[in-house]
Amino acid sequence: MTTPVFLNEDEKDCLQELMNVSYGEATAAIASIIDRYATLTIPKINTISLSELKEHLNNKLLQNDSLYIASQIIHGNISGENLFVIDDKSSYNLTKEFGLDEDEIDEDEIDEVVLEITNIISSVTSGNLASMIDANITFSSPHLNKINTITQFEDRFDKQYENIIIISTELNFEDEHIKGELIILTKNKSSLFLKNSLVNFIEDVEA
Amino acid sequence: MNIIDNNVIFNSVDNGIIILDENLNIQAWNRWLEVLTHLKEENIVNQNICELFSYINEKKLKRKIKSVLVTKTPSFYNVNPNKYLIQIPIDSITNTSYTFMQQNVTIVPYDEEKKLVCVFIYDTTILSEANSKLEKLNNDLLEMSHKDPLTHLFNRRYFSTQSKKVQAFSKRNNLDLSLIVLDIDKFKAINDTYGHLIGDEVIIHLSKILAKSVRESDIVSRFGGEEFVVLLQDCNAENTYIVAEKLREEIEHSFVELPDEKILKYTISLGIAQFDEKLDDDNLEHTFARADTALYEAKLNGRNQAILV
Repeated sequence: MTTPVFLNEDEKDCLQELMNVSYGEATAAIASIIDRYATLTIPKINTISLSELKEHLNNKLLQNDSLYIASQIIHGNISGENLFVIDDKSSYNLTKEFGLDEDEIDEDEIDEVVLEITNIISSVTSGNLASMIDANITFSSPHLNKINTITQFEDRFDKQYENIIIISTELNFEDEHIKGELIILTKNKSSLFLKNSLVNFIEDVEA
Repeated sequence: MNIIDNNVIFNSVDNGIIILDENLNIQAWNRWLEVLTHLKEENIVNQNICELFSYINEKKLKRKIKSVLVTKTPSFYNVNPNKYLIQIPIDSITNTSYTFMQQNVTIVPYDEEKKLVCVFIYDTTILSEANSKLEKLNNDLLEMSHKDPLTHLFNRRYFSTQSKKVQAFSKRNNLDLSLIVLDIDKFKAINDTYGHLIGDEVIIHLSKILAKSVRESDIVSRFGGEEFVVLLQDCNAENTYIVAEKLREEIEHSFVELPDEKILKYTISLGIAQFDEKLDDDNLEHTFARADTALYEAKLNGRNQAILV
């Protein structure tokens, strides 16, 4: 069995700072695309195992009837998969913020908006992070799953990722609070690259 | 030496390429699209793509293009109902599912200064057809794993997963939640007298009455043999007792038709309990155990009755 690559406190702080900048850019992009003023709470970072992720999602499912999980594969130095998790209510509110009237909103429109926001948040944050730590990455198109039980998650996301970083944040528009989480799933090789890049970044800043 | 000739690639690649400006005007249209749409590039350059193809959702496409120009990253346009961007009829005789080519569409930045984007259109019809067949098979399998094959009611495994969610939902919304545990009286005697096939007919008969007597939000499950469980959301013990009594009476007054034009009458006994967070230690299994004890009491008291605990 391989040993998971953990980030120490300094590296986690550094990643939080870099993600904060990247999320800022993603928020500005969202605000500009949909012509709404939006702010984002400072992202909280947690590193967990796959079984803890399942437990985390299961707890969310107990509080919500279903969850939208949009996944986007990342290729390159920090390859892996980004998941954007958003509950029913937040996804509905988000769709309203995208300029759709209540009578225009249906399942397809919500799916479309969740995929679009995932693409923006995932590609802008990971893209920014990659450029700050000199990594090269590209993205596949995001795919959406709506799950009601944790078994559905296990059935659809069967890849064994060794390292999982959860970045929780809240996107606030003038009228709506939208809670979403970006979850970065990586295997040890990419995690090691990320860890080393963060070490180098910290050294460069301190030099 | 630069051996890349973009024009050759643009016109020989096996997918559609459109260059659009931020106002959705077509700036380039490759040969693949010319052949499949019978529209020549020279005749449509500078035309607005949404005026040319009125079925395209202008608001959505504009937002996608803005997203590409703002984030400088690709945007993907592959969600229902946008299974295609440009309507291209399919002539294939082997395709049975789609009238138009199914497409994946990726929009990427092309010229940031001139605010141009490049739209790539990929034919995904074969993949979509295979996926939709797989999806149907998966749904059938899922249905099979949730349902009891004889009665088509939910099975015990599904009940177990779903009841936890219903319990959590009821707690969150401060709603009552009750259970009916029921079984067929003297079912062994029915089997011994009439045989297992008639026994199965009785089970199917009861299942149909149960399924039509409850609300869509309630869960009716066959736990095994002649035992059934009904989970009633937003329903207190008293109302659940009324539902149970109605069920008991309906079964008492109905019958199963036998092959020789005879009829078979049977009865059921029922136990009822309302979920009580403290009493049941926040565990619906304990509510089930109380309802099961009530059912046992109904049997001891002479059967064909509902008992509430």
